[in-house]
Amino acid sequence: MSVGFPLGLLALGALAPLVGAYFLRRRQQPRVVSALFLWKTPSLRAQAGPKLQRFSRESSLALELLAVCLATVFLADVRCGPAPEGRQLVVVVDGGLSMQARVADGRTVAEKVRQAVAQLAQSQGSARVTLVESGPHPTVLAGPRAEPTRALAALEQWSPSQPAHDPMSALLLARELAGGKGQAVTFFTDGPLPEGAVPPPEAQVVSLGEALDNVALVSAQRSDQAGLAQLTVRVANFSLAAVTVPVRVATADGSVAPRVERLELGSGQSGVVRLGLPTSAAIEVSIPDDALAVDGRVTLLPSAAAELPVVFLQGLDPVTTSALKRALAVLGHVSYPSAAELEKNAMVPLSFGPEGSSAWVTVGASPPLKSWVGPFFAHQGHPVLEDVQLAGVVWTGGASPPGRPLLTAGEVALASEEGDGHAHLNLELSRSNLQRSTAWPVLVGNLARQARLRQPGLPRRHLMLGEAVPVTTAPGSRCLLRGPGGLERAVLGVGAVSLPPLPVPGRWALLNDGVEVDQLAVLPLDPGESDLRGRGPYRLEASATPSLAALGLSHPRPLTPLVLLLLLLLLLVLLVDFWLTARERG
Amino acid sequence: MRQDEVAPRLEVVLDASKSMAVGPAKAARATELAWLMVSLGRRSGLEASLVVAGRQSHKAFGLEARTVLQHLSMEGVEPFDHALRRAAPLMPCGVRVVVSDLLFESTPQPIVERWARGASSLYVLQVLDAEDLTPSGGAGARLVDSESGETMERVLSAAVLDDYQRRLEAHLQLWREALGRVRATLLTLDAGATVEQLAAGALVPLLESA
Repeated sequence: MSVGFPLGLLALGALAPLVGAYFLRRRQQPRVVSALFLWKTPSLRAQAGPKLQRFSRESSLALELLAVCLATVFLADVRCGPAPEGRQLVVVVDGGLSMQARVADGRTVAEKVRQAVAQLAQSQGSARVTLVESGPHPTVLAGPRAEPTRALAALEQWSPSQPAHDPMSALLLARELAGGKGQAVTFFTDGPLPEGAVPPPEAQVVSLGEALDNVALVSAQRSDQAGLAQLTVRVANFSLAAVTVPVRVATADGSVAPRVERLELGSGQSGVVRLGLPTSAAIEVSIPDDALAVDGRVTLLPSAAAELPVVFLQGLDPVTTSALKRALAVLGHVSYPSAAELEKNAMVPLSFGPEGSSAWVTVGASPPLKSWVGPFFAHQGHPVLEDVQLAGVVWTGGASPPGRPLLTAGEVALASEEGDGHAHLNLELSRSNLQRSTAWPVLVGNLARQARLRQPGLPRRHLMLGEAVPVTTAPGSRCLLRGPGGLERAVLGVGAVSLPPLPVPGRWALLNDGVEVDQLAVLPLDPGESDLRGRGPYRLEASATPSLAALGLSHPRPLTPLVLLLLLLLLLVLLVDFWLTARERG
Repeated sequence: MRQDEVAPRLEVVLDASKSMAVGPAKAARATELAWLMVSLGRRSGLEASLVVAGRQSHKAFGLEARTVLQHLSMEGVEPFDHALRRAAPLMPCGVRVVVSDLLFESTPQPIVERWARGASSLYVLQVLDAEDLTPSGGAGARLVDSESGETMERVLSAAVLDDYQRRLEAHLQLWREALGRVRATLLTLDAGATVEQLAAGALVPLLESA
C-alpha cells in the first residue's frame, strides 16, 4: 500500500471534531421542563424517544466517520501497488550570460543555483522536477516531471548563455507545465526583475547574484579584403572606478605577432580598438579575466566576401548586358565563370537572360511598349527594391511579366517575382534612363545579394547571442551545425533556412554530408548581460500560495473504476446520513 | 359564597403530576396554596375536602388534608385531566378551587366544563415556576419533559426563547377563554413568591369573594 499525497491524510483531522461534538452532545446537562410541547416547532417536532434518538445519533456518527475515512482515502491517493509519483517541483533558471559571473566566494551564480535547486528538491521531498531555462525562447532543460536525479544532472550540464531577455514567457511556460494557475514556481536569477515586470502570482523569485565590477567586449566586427583583416572592437567599463584595459589581439595560427592595445576607460565609458592585420586566419581578441570572463574573449573568423558567379544567357541584348556588367563591377566579388567551371565547382550562378528565358533574372519587355516617369508603386520592404529610388527615372516596359508584382506603374507590373525566387524586370533599357540613375546599381546589387543568399553555406560569419542563424542548403545533402563540446543542431529544409538561436557561444561548423563546408562564430557579447552593477540578492515571495485543494488536485489521479467506486460510496454514505438526520428532524 | 351556596362545601383539587415539582418552590407553593384554601374553607364554616390527582389519588376532609399534603409526592406521569379521571369523583359544592400549572397538552374546554359542573363558583390557581414563565437561555440544552421523559436538544437562543414565550401565551389564552366561558376565575401565581406575598397580592380577588 502506498500514499500518493500524504498531505491528504490531514483530512483525518476532521475525525476529532466529529467525535468531540458527539460526546459534547451526549454530555449536555439535561434540563427538566414542565411542558416540552411548548418548546417544539413545526419543523422540530417530537422525537421518537431516548432509545431511538441515541441509536440514530450513533448511526449518524458512524456514517460521518466513514465519510471522512473515504474522503481521506481519496485525497491521500491511498492505493495498493507501487508508489505513485509525488509532488512536482517546477523551477525556472535564468539563462542569461551574467549567471556565469563569479561571485565573492569563488563560485559562479550558476553553481549557486545548482546547489539551491538540489536543496529545494530535497527539502520539499519532490519526486518530480521540471526545469525551464529562461531566454528569448524559453527552453525545457528537464522534464516535464523528470526524475530529480535526471533533472539535477541536466542542470549540471546547463551553461547559461542567453542574451538579456524578459523572463515572463519562461515563468508562464513553467506555470503551465506545473499544472496551471495556483501551482508554485520558483525562479532563480542573479538580480532584481526588470522594472515594470510583473511575475505570475504563483512565482517565487530568488536572486543569488552579487553586484560586481566588470569590463567587457560589447561588440566585435571583422572584414577581410585583399588579405587584410580589419577589426573593430568596442570595450566597455561597467565598473565603479576608471580602468586601463589591455586589449590583446592574436591570430589563431600565430602567423602575426600578438598585439596589445591599451584603453583608458572611465566608469561607465566605452572605447574602440581598430586594427588591420595581414592575415586570413581566425583572430582572437581578449581582455584580462574578471567577474564575467566569458564576455572578455571572442574569436573572429575570416569574413571575406565569396565570389558570386554570374552568367548571361543567349538572347540578352548587348545594351542590357553592358549595363548589368557596369553595375556588377561596382559591387565587386563577382566572377564570370565558363560553363565548364560552373559544372566542375557545382556553382549556383546568378543568371541574367532575355524575357521568356529560364534565367534567375529576366530583363526585357514585349510590345506594345510604353514609358512611365511615375508614379511607381513599390512593394514596401521587399529586399529586391530596398533603397531603390526611382525619382526622375523613365522606365519603358511592355506587358506585365508573370509572378507577384513588386513594382507597378498604372496597371502594368514593371518588376515581379515568382515563388521560387525568379525575378522579372519588365524593362526595355534602350528606351529607358534607369541604367544612368543611381537606382540601377542599387537594384542590381539587391539582386546580387539575393543570389548570394542562395549560395549554399552561411551568409554571416558572426552572430550575436540570441540571433537566429541563416543557413542556405543545397538539395540532396544532409547538413548540420556542430558547435563547442560536440553540440549538434540539424539543419532541416532546403534553400534559405532560418534556425533558432544557437545555445552556446563559440565556433560552429556547418557540415554537409559530414564534410565541413563553412563556419560561424556566436559571440558572447551583450552589454545588458555584462553590466553586473545592478545585480544582487533579491527575493520576491509568491503572492498566491497553492491551496490544499489545489495541492491535492495537482496530483495526478486517474479516474479508475476503483476511484469512481470510492467516490460513489462516499456520496452514498453522505446521502444516507442526510436522510437519517432529516428523519430525526422530521 | 353563602349567597350562591348549593351545598356548604369547598372542594380543592390539586394537580400532583411531575410537572408541579420541576422546582422545589413550585411544589411547595402548590401544597401551601391547597392547604390555605382548605383552611380558609374550614374557617368560613364550609366542609372542606381535598382531591389529589397524581400517580396516586387521595381524598381527604378537614384536618386530614394536612396530613395528605405533608406526605404528598408529586409523581404523576399523566396529564392532569387523565389523572383526574382516576381520582375520586368531584362532588357538588359551593366553591371549587383547582391548583395546577395547566401545562399539559389537552383541549381546555371539556376539562373546564367538568370542573365547573356541580360547583357554584370555580377558581383556578395556576402555579408557575420562574423557569416556566421566563426560562433562562444562552446555551445548548437537552430538554427533558418532566412527565413523559421525552428529550429534545435545542440551542436556547433569544429566538427560541421568544418562540417559547409566544407559545406559552397562546396556551394560556386558550385556558383563559375556556375558563371565561364558565365564568371561572383564573389566577396565575408565581411560585417564587411566598404565600403571604400571594395573599396580599394575586389572591386578593379570591379572598375578597370568599
